[in-house]
Amino acid sequence: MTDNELITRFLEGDNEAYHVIVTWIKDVTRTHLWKHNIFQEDIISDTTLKLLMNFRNNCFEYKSTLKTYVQRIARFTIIDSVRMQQYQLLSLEAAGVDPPGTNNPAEFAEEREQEMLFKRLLSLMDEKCVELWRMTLEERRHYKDIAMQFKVSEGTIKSRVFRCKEEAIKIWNSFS
Amino acid sequence: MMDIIEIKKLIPFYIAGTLDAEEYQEVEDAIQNFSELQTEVEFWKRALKAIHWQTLQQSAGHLTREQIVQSAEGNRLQDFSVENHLQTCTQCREVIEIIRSTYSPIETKQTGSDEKSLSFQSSFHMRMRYVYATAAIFLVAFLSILLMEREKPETQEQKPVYAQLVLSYNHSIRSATKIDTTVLTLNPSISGINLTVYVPHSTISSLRYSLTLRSPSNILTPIAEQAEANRVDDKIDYVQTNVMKDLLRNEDGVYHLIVKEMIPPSYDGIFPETYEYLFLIEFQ
Repeated sequence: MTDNELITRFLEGDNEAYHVIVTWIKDVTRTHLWKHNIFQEDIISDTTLKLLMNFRNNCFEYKSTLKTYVQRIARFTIIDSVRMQQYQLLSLEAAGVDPPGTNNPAEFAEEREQEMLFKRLLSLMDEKCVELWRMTLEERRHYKDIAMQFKVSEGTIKSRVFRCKEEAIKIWNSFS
Repeated sequence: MMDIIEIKKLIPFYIAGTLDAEEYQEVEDAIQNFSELQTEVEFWKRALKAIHWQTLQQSAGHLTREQIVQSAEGNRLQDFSVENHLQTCTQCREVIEIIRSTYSPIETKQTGSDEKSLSFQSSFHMRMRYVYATAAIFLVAFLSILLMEREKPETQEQKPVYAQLVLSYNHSIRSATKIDTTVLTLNPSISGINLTVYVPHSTISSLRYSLTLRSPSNILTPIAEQAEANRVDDKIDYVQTNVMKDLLRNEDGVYHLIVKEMIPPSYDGIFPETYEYLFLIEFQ
């Protein structure tokens, strides 16, 4: 199978193509990642999701072999996972023994888990969407200002931000 | 009055606080009146937190994913600030070590322009290993001849003379495997074998190895219990020890050297790797 055939069949849901790609991902996760609380199934799941989106958006430009590309995405996924673990540890340490704002530890734990899942969601989203959200939420730029930068209409920017949210909901639903 | 879809589109800007007064009021009224919009608000509040965290990560100067992978592959990063950051950032160093552990021992360092020559590089490395093994055999033969030609006076005390045996790991698959046979000829003046064994580099630091020799008649003899590994580079370590000739019992034939990782107690649950090397001894 050529790389192009593999991608086409992967997008069609072909089992053999899926198996080839997952084997490549497993080659990267075969070592003792569980020591760092990183589980192979999570990495496979997130990586295949990213690959699906990237292939659909023609993000693979054939500058490397498909195997190298897939394994690089898998390693990026591992990096995101490790960074989230590090953040979780740091934020738990910062919260101290008694978490603020609630007397219900179950609520606190659930809130933390939702936060972690959302960060994971962010790592799986299209980078253009993340960048758009960053301009909107972090840089607090008005949609008119963003529209001027991208030279599109204000309605287009509002729609893009909203469509990114719709895509994010699909990814979120896939977690369950 | 805006429809509910238009309201939903404005909620992220409402959360960010960038709407003008009229739009802000319209959105706020809609949120009060339509309970489904509360879900939208909660979503965007989470999005705000997550985006903020991501921005903090980036502003802390942590390495990007690309930089992490390049560093793990051993590509020297040209950016001084990156090298500087790694001096003080344990988080990034931890990530690099984890990513480094995802590479197999013989995996070629990949750059964007060299991707297409990957198969050529792999076969090149395989050929080089055969070259090294052949060179090792010639080296051993040369040293054996050299030692044979040195005759010490009878009145002087005989110092132990060792034949050099270098065993390379030239198989592409990790774990228990065998290499091609190496031939060692021992003459009566030889006291033993100075053994150098190359093993794939381990990410576990301070790793030690046990070495056991199986004779042609299947007798197992421990040679070293806790031999310390020395690092050659990111791919190869080596272990050195002496094997006295007495242990060989003058048996000609194929010997098996079994090299096993001694896993430190703190790495509980990890299965040690085992490597097996074959070599042939002929006694003169």
